[in-house]
Amino acid sequence: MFLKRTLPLLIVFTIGSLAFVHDFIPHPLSGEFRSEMASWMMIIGGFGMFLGVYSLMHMHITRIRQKMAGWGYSVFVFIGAVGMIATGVYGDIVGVSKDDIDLFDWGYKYIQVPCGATIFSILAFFVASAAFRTFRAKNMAAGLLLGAAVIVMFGRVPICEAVGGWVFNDRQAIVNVANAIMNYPNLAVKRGLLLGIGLAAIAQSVRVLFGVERTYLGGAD
Amino acid sequence: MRKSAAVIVKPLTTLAVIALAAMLPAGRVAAQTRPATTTQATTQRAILAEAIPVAESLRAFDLPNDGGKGIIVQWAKPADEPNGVTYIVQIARTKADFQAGKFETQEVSPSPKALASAKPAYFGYSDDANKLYYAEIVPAAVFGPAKPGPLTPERLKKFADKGVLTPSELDRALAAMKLLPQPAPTTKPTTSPAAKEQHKLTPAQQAELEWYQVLAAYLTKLDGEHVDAEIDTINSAPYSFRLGVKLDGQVALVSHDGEPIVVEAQAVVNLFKWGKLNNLILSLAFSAVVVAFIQVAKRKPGLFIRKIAGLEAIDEAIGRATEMDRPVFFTHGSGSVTALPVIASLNILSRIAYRAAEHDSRVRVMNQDPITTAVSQEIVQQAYTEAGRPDAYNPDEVSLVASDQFSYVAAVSGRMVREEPGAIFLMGTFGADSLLLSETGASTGAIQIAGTDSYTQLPFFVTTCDYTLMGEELYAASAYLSREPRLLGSLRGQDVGKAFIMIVLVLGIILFTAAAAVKGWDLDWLRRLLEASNA
Repeated sequence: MFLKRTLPLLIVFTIGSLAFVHDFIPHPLSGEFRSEMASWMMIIGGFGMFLGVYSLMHMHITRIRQKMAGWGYSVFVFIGAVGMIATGVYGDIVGVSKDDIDLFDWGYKYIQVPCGATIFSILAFFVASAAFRTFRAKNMAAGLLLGAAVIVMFGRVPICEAVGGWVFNDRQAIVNVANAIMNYPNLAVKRGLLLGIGLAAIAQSVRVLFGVERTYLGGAD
Repeated sequence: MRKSAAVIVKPLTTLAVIALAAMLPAGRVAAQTRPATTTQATTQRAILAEAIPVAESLRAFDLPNDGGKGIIVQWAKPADEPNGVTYIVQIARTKADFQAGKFETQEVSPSPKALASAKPAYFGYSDDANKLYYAEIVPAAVFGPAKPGPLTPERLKKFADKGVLTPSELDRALAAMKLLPQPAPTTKPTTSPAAKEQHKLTPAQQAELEWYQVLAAYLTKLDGEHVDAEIDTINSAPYSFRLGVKLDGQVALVSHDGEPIVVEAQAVVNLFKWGKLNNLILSLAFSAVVVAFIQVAKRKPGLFIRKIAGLEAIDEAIGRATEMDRPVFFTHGSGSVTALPVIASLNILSRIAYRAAEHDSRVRVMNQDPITTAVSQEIVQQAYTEAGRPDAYNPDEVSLVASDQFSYVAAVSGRMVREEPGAIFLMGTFGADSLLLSETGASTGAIQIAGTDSYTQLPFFVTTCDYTLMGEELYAASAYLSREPRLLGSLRGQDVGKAFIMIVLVLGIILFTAAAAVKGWDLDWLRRLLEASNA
């Protein structure tokens, strides 16, 4: 019980309190404490990575062995992992001369990065589909949301100045309304949210520091 | 920062300085760098004289709230500040260095940002701060230590002289250094096979080169440590300062009786950031309230807590997944276990895993951070054990998926589409992955419950998920789900904090509205105090 509960809670309280105090002390010792903690984070992260990779490999081996749905994709995990490890080790041992192609860098630059960019670019379509679904004015609240969204979106495109000048005789009319929506109701809600988050974060920290909240240790008690 | 060649007061021009001093009001004397012979120049000098700050206002002191790195030089803003004037702060190690011309110069252009009122953490919130200019001087940035150059045979020998390298290591390093590729004399790289062959190294030479590179990295680190120590020494020394104004190339120094005024200061290591005192007081006061209510809740359990729809729906979502014989998906987003939202989401995971174990449903936790994976495995295993189903726990269902954001999104989205979960929980820290995951989840028809304090992502969750825990609701989940009296007490303490902030806001609105209506009632001090949070 001491090793599983008391000692971790003592460590959490001690390090947590020091981390809190550190923020108010400009002394170089405080900076050293921070860099020391960063080193420990890296060490723990290194061990954590071993556990994570083991977990990943074990899961995919099981999926392949049991021919679970989509097990073929798990094969690609190994192809990718083995391929990158092999090219990385080859490049390190044999060496890559200045004019040769480094397969490891090539794989990262021409496979990994474009694939990531492809996933990111899907976001544009998802924003459109989410907006289409949400902006159906089914009730008063949805209608208000739709109205505000249309004004803000329109206020961000150059043509709104021409339309503002034509309809309201003021080129900045729609831009001003869009800015007012962003600067007053939107900002007020955002600040209210942030105040709540700030207070909740302090309460959460107190719960963790004093051991009231200990689910992260695995189980309630 | 630049060298002060243009404004150095040479011994010959010192006479001109004193001559000009006689023409200017007592106590505000100038020096000039080039003789002026025309009427226009005389007018310029008069304008320059007006721009010289009051001599008594020149002060230098330690930069507060820092670890002994900086010095503040402060002076009064002249009543009539001509257009185009620039203030120059001259910095020397000793007073005598000024006479010898050994000083550096830092220029300050007049602007609201240069006023002391722009830095309330250093100068407070009084009206006087609007009448003062300041310059923040970091001596190491002015008299910085010489940067160590690249490793040369001479430098290697110096390391050997200091005992860092043994004689044999020195010989080995000098030999390995010769194997380094020499810079090509032309810009065009040599590509001929013969030239390539010439550059090829034997395995033994390659090994020596690698050893040398490790050694070079170590020596560079030593250099860095030496430079850091030198920076500390430079910063902690006392320095002398003079102040001048520059207009159209003419420079005048703040002087008294013809002698430029020199002030001295030394940076010291501070023990407390006084500018953060308000944060400390509020944090401690609020923490004390939370602790007090935890104690109260221990004695009087059963505190009321309002219903949170997103948390009420957790059981419904798990029940639906069980009925449909589909898995429950859970993701922490992109945060590591050090992030508070992730810690809060781990509490929810514990509850979800417990319920899923009771219903004999499957929970699949997909993580982006290895440490979060390890903690999640522990939590889910514990929840299954508490539910009396330790045999049902499968570690493969709580795993790392990918540590790269978009690889993670691709993997999770793929599994969502293939496995069609009955319920999806998106709890933690999210970035661009929020909409990608939740929109894919929505397309599978699963009940989606999201929770995050990343307020920029909340609109995406609101539009795509059935329930969203916004900000503080995520942190309240643990208390809400467990109904543990001490956790509920902390929530009550949190509510008291919110009530306090609301009262302050309402009072502020009333006071400012009243101040606007009542003539002569000045609440400027309160406005500046409220603005302190932006300092």
